[in-house]
Amino acid sequence: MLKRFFPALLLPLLLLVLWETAAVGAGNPALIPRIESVASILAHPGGDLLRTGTYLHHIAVSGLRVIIGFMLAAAAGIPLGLLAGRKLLFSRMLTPLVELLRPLCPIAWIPFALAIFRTWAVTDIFGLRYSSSIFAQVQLGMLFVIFYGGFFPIFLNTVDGVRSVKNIHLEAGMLLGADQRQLFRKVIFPSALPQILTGLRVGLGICWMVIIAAEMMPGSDAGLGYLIMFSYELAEMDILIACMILIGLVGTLLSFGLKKIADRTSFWQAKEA
Amino acid sequence: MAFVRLEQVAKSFRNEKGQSTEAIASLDVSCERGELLAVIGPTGCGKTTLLRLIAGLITPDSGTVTIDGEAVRGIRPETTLVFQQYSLFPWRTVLENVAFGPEMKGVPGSERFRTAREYIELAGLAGFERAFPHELSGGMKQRTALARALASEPDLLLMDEPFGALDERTRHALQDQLLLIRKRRNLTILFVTHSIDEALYLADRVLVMRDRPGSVLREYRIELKRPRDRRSRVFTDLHLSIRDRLEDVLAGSSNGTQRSLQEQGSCT
Ligand SMILES: Nc1ncnc2c1ncn2[C@@H]1O[C@H](COP(=O)(O)OP(=O)(O)O)[C@@H](O)[C@H]1O
Ligand SMILES: [Mg+2]
Repeated sequence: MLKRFFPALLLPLLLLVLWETAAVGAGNPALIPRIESVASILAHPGGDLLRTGTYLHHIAVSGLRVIIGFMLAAAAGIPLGLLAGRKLLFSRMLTPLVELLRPLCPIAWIPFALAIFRTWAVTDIFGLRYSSSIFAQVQLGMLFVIFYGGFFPIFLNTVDGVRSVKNIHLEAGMLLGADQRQLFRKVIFPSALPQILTGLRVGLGICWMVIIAAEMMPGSDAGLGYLIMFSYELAEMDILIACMILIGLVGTLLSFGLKKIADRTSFWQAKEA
Repeated sequence: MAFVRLEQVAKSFRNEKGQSTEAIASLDVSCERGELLAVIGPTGCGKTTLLRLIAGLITPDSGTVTIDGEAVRGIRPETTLVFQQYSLFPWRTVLENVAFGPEMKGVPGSERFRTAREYIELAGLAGFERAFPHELSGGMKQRTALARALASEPDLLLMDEPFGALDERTRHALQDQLLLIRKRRNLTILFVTHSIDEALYLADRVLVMRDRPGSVLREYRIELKRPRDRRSRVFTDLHLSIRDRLEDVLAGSSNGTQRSLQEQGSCT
């Protein structure tokens, strides 16, 4: 056990020692806070931070925004990817636009999204203007940029997955009596699934990065990105660093969770040669 | 009238550079219902092409392919093909692979798994129902492919060097299994192989093909009783005779071609 974990823990431990040494040396918590004060923030998930709510609340707000935006991206990216992967016409229609828009970083769209969507939230669409539900925190502009960040990896991986279906599997399917519909559902889709899941994992990672950036923009009043910006303005470095750690942890957790799901459905892929 | 019939069939392929190669030309093949016909010939002589034409995966440039009196137009539900390469669906277990054919026909779950188990048993795979293809040996994979093909209840089974990649022991075991299965089902089998031994052990009739372009060089009717003794005099004599024929082909002289055409004429 020790042999296995010691190398993994060595560098993080070294980092912590350096941090604490620097903090003690600087003697200014507004510049470099002590490890203890950051740890104490993380250890009290129920504690109100800067009168904006608990960090669990901020995680929930960021998480909800990401999940909704991500699901929209998947709902568009997977079907369009399946179509473009199979039908030349769709591929010809979609590819130029995708190649044009893809290099444009989603963060570059944030000001545009703010200008177009203002601070409207999803609840406004349903006429619940002053709703106090958490959905009132899910702004359309943020959904737009999350969608934008998630769409391309999901779409492109789906296209690629469909295109790399082996001809021999298609022919075997047809010879065993599959019609076009069955071929799609029983051969093409399961064959492309591992790569679709790769697209989802990459997409979710990008969505999580984008939301943090989007929440740092004006007009936002909740979420981890907001909290990190607000603690910067108030020179609360311990909260700021706690936020950074939380952002990293949630991101790792999301990626790890999707990887677990992907591994269960793609177990056959690595071993197929 | 023959069950499977190819008349004056020709097929060329164009590569990326636009050059065209004649894979087969003026090919005549016929196969009776219930017959086990082996086709043998050097690599690239068009054996796979022949099977793909019969399976309806490709169409001939000229000539006709008929099965049971009907011209082949696309895939025919009662024809199936066991591929040369591994073609199992890697995301499905052995049981799910074998149940694929019945599933496509809309056979409900419990019934199609019952059918699949039957064929799994028949192919000597009992106990491996839940295994995934990547967990199987080469021999087991081909057994599964055979069971999967049989479970779709074909009347015509095309086999493209199905045991080519297996070691000798496994190959012999699978050959016996195939003969056993054929005895129980009313099957017509077209079996492509590059092994003379395999062709002689299995077939009622052996076609020897030549390449560039592919066509039938000679046919042998094998009237030996089964189970066949590989060490018997007749067997070894036939083996030698076919080997000589194939060596002529490999020598590839134009004069060999000429002779072969004459032989074909005298034989049919
Ligand atoms: N799809 C294809 N495209 C181009 N050439 C092909 C194709 N299929 C077969 N050929 C060519 O046709 C010839 C016969 O091939 P094939 O039927 O696979 O031979 P065999 O199975 O006897 O080894 C070969 O020269 C091969 O290169
Ligand atoms: Mg071949």
